[in-house]
Amino acid sequence: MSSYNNIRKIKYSKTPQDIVSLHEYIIFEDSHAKEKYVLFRFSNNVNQRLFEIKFEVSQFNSENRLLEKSTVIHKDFTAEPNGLFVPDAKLKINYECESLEVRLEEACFDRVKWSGGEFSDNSYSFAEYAETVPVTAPQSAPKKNKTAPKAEAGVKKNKLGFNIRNIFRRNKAIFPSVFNVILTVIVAGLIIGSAFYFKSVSGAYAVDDFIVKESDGFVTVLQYRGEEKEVEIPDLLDGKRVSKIASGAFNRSDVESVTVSVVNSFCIETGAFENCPSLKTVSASMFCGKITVMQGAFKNCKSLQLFDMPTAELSKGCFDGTNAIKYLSFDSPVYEGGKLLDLFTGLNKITLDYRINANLSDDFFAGVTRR
Amino acid sequence: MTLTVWRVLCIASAALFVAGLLLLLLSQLLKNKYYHIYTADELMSKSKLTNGKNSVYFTSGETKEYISKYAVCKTEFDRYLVCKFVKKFSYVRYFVMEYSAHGRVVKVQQIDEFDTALNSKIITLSRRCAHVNVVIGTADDAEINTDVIRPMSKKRIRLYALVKSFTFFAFLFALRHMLIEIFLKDISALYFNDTLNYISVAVCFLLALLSYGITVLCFRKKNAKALNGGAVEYEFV
Repeated sequence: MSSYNNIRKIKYSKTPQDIVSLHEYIIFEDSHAKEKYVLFRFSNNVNQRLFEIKFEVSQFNSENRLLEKSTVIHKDFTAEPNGLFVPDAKLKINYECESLEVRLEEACFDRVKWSGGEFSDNSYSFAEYAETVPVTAPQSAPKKNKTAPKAEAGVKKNKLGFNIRNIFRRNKAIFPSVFNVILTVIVAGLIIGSAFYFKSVSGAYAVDDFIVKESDGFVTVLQYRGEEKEVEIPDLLDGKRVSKIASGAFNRSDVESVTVSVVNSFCIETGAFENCPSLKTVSASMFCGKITVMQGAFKNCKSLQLFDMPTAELSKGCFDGTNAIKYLSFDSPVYEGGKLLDLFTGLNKITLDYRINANLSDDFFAGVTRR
Repeated sequence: MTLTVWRVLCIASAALFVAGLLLLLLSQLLKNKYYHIYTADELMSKSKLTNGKNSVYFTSGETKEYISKYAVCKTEFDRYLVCKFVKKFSYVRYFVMEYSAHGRVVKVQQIDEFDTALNSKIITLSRRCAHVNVVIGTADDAEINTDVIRPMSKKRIRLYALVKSFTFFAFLFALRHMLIEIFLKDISALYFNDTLNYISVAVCFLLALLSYGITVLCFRKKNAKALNGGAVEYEFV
């Protein structure tokens, strides 16, 4: 139980503009022991931490006569910037004392020292500076300027009375950047996922200069990825027989010559050699198996001059846009009742040398002039 | 399109990404514009201290009627400012605009003080600060300037968002290509001819478009909030 029988709290408003001002003080009176003590509550008005203060206390009696003066030093504490603080120690005062006056003499802040009205640089003491890492969050600004003074003055007055806010970089919006990072992660995940999906679905893999796909013990050439100008399609790839050249396998490649060395039956699909501007010769030996050439297989091969595949069966329009051809050798057309000109589209006549194994009527060669 | 064409497109988009980044950094589309133009205030006195010097300046313009002068204390490492009010205010808001030696704004501080004395509290200035302008905002019930920074125009926000989302698309495009080449190696050429590839490009484009929308939305929302003095609670936006 407290022995103090009279406790008075007194507001102090004499020097509020001081960098460290006395906010209020409490006088504790023990009438039995005839003793009085005082506890101060200061306000640190600087936006730096305060570590030490020295102040002069003048004590006055009820007739406002000076009783005594003393100098008080408070050390070894930390007061937050722009905040109220209470030093730990109570000060014993004259029992006759009824009021006090406080005058600040010295204040030691984080980086400056205030003494007798002048600041001096204190920033060399790095030990203290290093302790000031946690900084208090800024106070929110008044919501509306016109109504703020009256409404907020009361609140702020007792708390801080002072608020600084850096408003310089407010144009930065962080969320769009965060959102972009999230999108990037999502896209990366989707792309990797689709890559693995594609790999598993296509079943494609690389052998020598070819990308191939296996099915039923045979392989299909999906793409040529080599740099050679003269390409040979071997009978075996990865130990399996080659059965097909897929659509787009040589699309827009720079190959000049293609030789097929496949023994069993073989198919050149639509668009397999489409748009090969440098392709001049396509050949296969007469010991090859049956080669089926689909429609548009050699579409737009503008330089193709020699087509020598004695075992090939050609589909209509397999040479669409390929008009430079000078020698044509094949087994038979796939179609019946048509003409040799049907291999090409939009041509009424052509001059070339040809060798066809099948017995065909003269109508088949209508519009063709032999070289 | 062949693998070579896709590779060329990847390199081009990577270059566009870098160019876009540089453009965003150098064009300063988000740079603050100010209502207040720097005024070289009249120097009243200069005094040398042990560790620095004090300079007292007269304020200028409408601020003169509320804040008569201000003192700048420069020490070796720190700079401080104290303003002298014309009278005691129950509430005063003023802006301290800090300029570098080259006249660029390095910081703008908004200061609110309640029940002032004739002097302001001590305000710490930026170390890069060479010159200061004090601009009055509100004094008691009189509102003189609501802000010193102009809100960003819609046009600038849209332009910034456009450049940003275009840069983002270029980045996604290049990233997409690199990931495919890394994960599919030899058969990547096949992927580039597949529908999946075109779908992934379309997804990148759509996400960049979404990014544009989000950027515009966030900046406009933030800007609108900042006008009402609500910038603090919108730090994340």
